[in-house]
Amino acid sequence: MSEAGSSDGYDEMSCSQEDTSDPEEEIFDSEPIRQQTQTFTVLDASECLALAQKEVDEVRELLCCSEEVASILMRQFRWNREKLTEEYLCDADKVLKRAGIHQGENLEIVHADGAVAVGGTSQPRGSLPDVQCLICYETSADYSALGCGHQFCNTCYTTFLAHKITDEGYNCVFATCPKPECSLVVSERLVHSLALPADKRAIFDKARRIERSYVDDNPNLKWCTAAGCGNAIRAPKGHLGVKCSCGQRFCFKCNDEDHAPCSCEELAKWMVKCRDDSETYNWLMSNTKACPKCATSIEKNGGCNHMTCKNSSCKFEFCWVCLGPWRIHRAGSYYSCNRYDPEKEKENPEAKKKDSSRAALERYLHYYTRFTNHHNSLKFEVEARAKMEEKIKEMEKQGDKTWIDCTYLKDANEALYECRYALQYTYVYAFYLPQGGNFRTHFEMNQTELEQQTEQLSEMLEKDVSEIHRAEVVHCFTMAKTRLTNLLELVAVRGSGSATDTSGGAGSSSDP
Amino acid sequence: MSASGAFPAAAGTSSSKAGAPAPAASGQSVNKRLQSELMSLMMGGDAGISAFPDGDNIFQWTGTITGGAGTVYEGLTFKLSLKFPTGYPYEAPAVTFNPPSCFHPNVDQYGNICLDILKEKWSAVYNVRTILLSIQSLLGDPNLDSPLNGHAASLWPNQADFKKALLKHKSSLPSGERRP
Repeated sequence: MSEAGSSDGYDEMSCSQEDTSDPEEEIFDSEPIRQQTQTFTVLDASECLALAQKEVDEVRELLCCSEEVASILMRQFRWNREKLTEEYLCDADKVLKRAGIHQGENLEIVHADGAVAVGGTSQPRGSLPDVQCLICYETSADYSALGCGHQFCNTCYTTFLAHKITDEGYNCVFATCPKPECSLVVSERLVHSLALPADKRAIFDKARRIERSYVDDNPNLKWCTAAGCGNAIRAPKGHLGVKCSCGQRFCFKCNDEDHAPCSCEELAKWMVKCRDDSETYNWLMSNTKACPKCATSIEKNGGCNHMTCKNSSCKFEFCWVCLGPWRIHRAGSYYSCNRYDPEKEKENPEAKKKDSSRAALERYLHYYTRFTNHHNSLKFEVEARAKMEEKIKEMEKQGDKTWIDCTYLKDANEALYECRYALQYTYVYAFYLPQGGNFRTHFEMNQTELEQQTEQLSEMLEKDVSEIHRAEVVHCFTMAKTRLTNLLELVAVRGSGSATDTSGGAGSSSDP
Repeated sequence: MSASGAFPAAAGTSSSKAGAPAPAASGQSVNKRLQSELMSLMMGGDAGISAFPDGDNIFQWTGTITGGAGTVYEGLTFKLSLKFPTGYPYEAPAVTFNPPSCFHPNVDQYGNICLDILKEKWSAVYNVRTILLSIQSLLGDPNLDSPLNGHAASLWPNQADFKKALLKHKSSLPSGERRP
């Protein structure tokens, strides 16, 4: 399936309704946390249809053709109206031919309502002369043809279309007459006249709906990824996290879950890394130690603590327990394995001579454990949402407060979720961030602040009803939200200098 | 994967070949069509091409083509294996040179053939006869833009050298069937 909407050439595509609504305003209510970086809108199915219909109507008027032809042409040109009109005005015949639209004498044969329409004129069923089908080689009088007149028996035509629909999915709208070199696109009339299984016909009909290809072919539009949600999201190219009105959050670019602040590429890399490495890394961490001399990972596969490094250039003999050289463990030597020596910890050769691979492993694990920690905590926050409802009811019972008074708890919970959600990906982002530099320091400072605030909020919300104070909670989650915004803005500024300009939102990060 | 939405990504290729649509008894209709193709091939008498099912299995044929007159392949015969899917003729048969004795720019070392009508340009109207004729004409008229065998493609402009390589290649294979 087509992934990242990186297909160039559609940039100039005009979305004429672009300016009819003020996206800023709508978004303000639904998405308080990232208002500064948000520029997307949610469109429902009827709005999508209206947008597509408008385009088709304009083309129909411009080219003076039927609505059906206009829809086919727009679909063929992937809604690039400029390109279509330019080529159409240059050579209309060529464009029509390429789009599979019939010109010239209509030789269509379609069975419907007990009769058969030949070139548009109805005649009784069974009045056709026998013809040999080019697919099954059987002779019959029960056949159909598109405007081109290439006849195939109805059984073969039906099987042919069923295969096309199964194999090509929504691309079945581009299915052409089975005859080689004939580019005529199958018509809805023909498809509906044949005894296709209902599920196949449903796919064909869906595929033909203009808003489907309108959204699919428009790089600024995407269907919500939630199963059964018919909404589409409009966002500028390169936009990442979006949230549908159904609650589904996803990345506009890669269709995966919303992963701000890390990029799609980083997420993909991270996921592959976690899949490939985590198990190996975990095993290495729990079952091996680095050779104190050369830092090769060593597994202890016997009971004896006397280890000899298998690295042929090292062959260091050491004690598995204290990692000290084995020679001092020999009888008569000064055996200090059982004593804790803080000085030794400092000069521990392991720390100094850490092989880069082991250091990399530890570095990865540092980020991985924090990533998974937040990831797992998220599950609890979802549960907490349900519990919060109960808490609110409890509060109501205690008197003096109404349900409205307590909704701030829901907001707080929502904020907590948002923060945790973003926090997990800050670790992916940080993992791929180059070491050192001012930006990293700045980023980590923001990350720390956000994390502290998030934990504080989390703790606060887990308290008993009697211990929850509104002012405290509101202050805490507002702070958390601000910190999240600051962090995301910081990343956005670094990422693409222009990313924040489009938001037109409130100013740069400022510490509250 | 959660890619679905209002218009879930409808089945792509290969998704449900096994449970293919097949209204009515498709196995029987494929059988029927292959029988009638066999009939017309035997009656037709096209020069330089022939095909016949392997034993009792109507879904597996062996074809033979002879190089066209005036080409480097003149007088040489090649055997092909044709495997018909249950979706035939709506799906193309798998056609390979077997044994892989054909040295040609559009044929790889395993006998796979790069020919559009066997892939994206396949049409239910094509049949064994048109396939064999197309491959026969491909022999003398290769598509040098998309070679599967780069060595053969680079030799092609010099027909004398190409012929030498072709004969060497053909004789390097044991005459018997090399692959089942």
